[in-house]
Amino acid sequence: MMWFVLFFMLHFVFSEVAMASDDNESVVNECLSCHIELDDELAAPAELFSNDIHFQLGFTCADCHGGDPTTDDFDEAKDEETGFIGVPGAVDIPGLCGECHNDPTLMRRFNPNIPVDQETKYWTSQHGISLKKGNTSVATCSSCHGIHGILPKSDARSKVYPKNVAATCNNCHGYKPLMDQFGLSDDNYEDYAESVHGIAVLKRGDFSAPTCNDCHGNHGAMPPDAVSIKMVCGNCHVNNFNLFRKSKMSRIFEMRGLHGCEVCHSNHRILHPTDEKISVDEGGVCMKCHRTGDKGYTEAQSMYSTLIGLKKTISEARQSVSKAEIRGMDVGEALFDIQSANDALIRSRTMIHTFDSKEVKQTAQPGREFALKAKQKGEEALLEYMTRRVWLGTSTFFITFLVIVLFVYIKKIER
Amino acid sequence: MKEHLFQWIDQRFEIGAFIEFLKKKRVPHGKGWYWYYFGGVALFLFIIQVVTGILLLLYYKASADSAFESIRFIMSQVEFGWLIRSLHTWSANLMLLAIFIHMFSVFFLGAYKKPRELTWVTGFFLLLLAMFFGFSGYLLPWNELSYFATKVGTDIIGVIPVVGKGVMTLLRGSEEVTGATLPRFYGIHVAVLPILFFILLSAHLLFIQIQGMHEPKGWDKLSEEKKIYIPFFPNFILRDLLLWLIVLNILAFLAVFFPWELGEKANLFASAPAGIKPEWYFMFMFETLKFIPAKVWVIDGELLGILAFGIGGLVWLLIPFIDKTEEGTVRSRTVKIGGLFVVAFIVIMTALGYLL
Repeated sequence: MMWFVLFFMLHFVFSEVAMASDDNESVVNECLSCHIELDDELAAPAELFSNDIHFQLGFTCADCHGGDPTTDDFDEAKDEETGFIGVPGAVDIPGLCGECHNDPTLMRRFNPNIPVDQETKYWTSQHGISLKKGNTSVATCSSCHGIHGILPKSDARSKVYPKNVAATCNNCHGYKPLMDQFGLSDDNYEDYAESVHGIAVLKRGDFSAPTCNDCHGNHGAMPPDAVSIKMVCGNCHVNNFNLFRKSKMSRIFEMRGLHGCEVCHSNHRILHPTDEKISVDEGGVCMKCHRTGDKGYTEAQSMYSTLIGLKKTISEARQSVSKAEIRGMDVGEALFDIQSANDALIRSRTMIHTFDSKEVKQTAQPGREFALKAKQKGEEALLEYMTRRVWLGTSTFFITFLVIVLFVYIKKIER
Repeated sequence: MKEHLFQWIDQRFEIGAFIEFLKKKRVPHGKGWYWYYFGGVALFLFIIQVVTGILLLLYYKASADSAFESIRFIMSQVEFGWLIRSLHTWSANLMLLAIFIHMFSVFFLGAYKKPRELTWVTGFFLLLLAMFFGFSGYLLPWNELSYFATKVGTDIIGVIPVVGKGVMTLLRGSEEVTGATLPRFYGIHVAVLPILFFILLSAHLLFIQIQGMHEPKGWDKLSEEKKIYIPFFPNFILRDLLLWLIVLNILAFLAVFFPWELGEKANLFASAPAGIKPEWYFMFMFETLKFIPAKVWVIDGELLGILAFGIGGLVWLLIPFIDKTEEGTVRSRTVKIGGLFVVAFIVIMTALGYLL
């Protein structure tokens, strides 16, 4: 009896390992053996599947399509009794993927941290809602992840690798006839590619910047609404978010249904913000809503002049320090002060999100003091430089005089 | 009063005899007399080194965490700190230049020959010590350039067969140039080298004192009346002083108009900046090693170069024992041509090091 229990346990342990094993050579999959021999269209899935993460983990074609993968007989393999479903329809795909991906017990074998709510989220997304209504032109799992060549998102070749996400979304969202059906714009990718985020992700490969799914969600993709947009931006821009949330402007925006951050910064085409954005002249965003002379106008003008003033003082300090530096003077401390002034400038720019000119001025003040200190140190270094020259001239004159006296004396005693 | 003081000292230390000796001491004043003064210039610059070095010691902190900051403090906060540091660095470079000129002038005047062999030998080791002074002092500011130059320099030492690896590890304090290397170089720079230098310099000056200055070529054939001498005191001393004052003027000019930069603090994890070059007095060796192919037959190119320099240095050290020719003979001229070749080689390779 004991031997039987032991055998059973060992069998259980090893059979579990075999299922979860990367080694797919032991798995019988006659579908591939036949399809690989067929015409291009029918051979393609077999060729692609050999790179697929599911194949790598030991899954077979039958796990999605049904059928009997152990036989090489066409009729037997695709017999109705084997549960063969052929090519699943768009409506069936989320449920088909969900059969495994919704199962925490199964998914835990491959990755204990993998989420199992993708399908649930999908049905709450704009894609899922439309699909439920019968619109089969919307994206399903395979539209984004691929069909037979599904790769893990960490693989640079994957369609959902951070650098490739925008292009994957653009497959549909950049297709005008399709977007026209939904009344959506088709130039989001171009806008995103030129944005600070797009440049970071697409050109620099900096994945700390967001791509489409970081703002819209992936499986539960939805355009953020007026209330949630600041939350979305606030995930990364925490300080700006906190300041904006506490500001009275936030409540006014919500009341008027304005999309928080987007109103000033745009959505996909978010360019590097300049100080001119809060000016009351051309290029300023405040004047989109405010009028000359109103309170918003005065606040914007005051905040702008604080920033410009600090920038000017820093620039003057830098010039003064630079003059001394190129003359070989040690200006390390002044450079630290300039750095501190710059930090204050950055903090002041952040304080713009309070829409309170006093707060901005208060934050900028230490920066101004640092910049003035640096400027003074630069001027002192220049003065020191001049003093050294005067000194040198004096000592050189004195030494030269001694040299002449000595020379004359030597000549005299050697005459 | 003056007389009384002199007698008081003379009764105790017999300085009267010493003063008499100074009064009688003479220095030959023939063709090429000006070359005689470069030894004195090197000595003057060494004295500046010692004085400014001691002043720098008051503020310098020899650890990887604070060395760079302490030099910055010296240059920006300490009164005249910038001047002291610049004088120390510039005088080190000028001292090496003066030693090189002194050594080659001694060579071309044939002053190394019997009986002055040991003066030459001590002088040669003084040059090596001065170069090592420069090498060890270069790391002390702990900036980017000095860190990587030390790394390259000690790497080269590591190539020397048998003892190379051991010496390299001993100098570095580990397999790599790290924070542990700095206190070692500091100890060598301010304790070991000064002791050795002082002993050798004393011997060098003592030998010159005992044997007197070398007489110019052809003086042995001249009658006593035709030989021109000048008194050591005050004439020679005053001439020395004159030149020292000129050197001091040059030094002050360099320190003020070309202050030695501190650069960026050494970052052990950063990659080496482009164009890492050793100090100019190592440049000819560094450049030569770059020209030697990686492999020459079965021997490693770098090793071959180091061996060649080792042998060359040994021959140069032993030149007074090898060259026993009489001045003015054909064989003596051949030796001089060999010396010219050495000078040309050093100058050309140094120039290439900066131009290429």
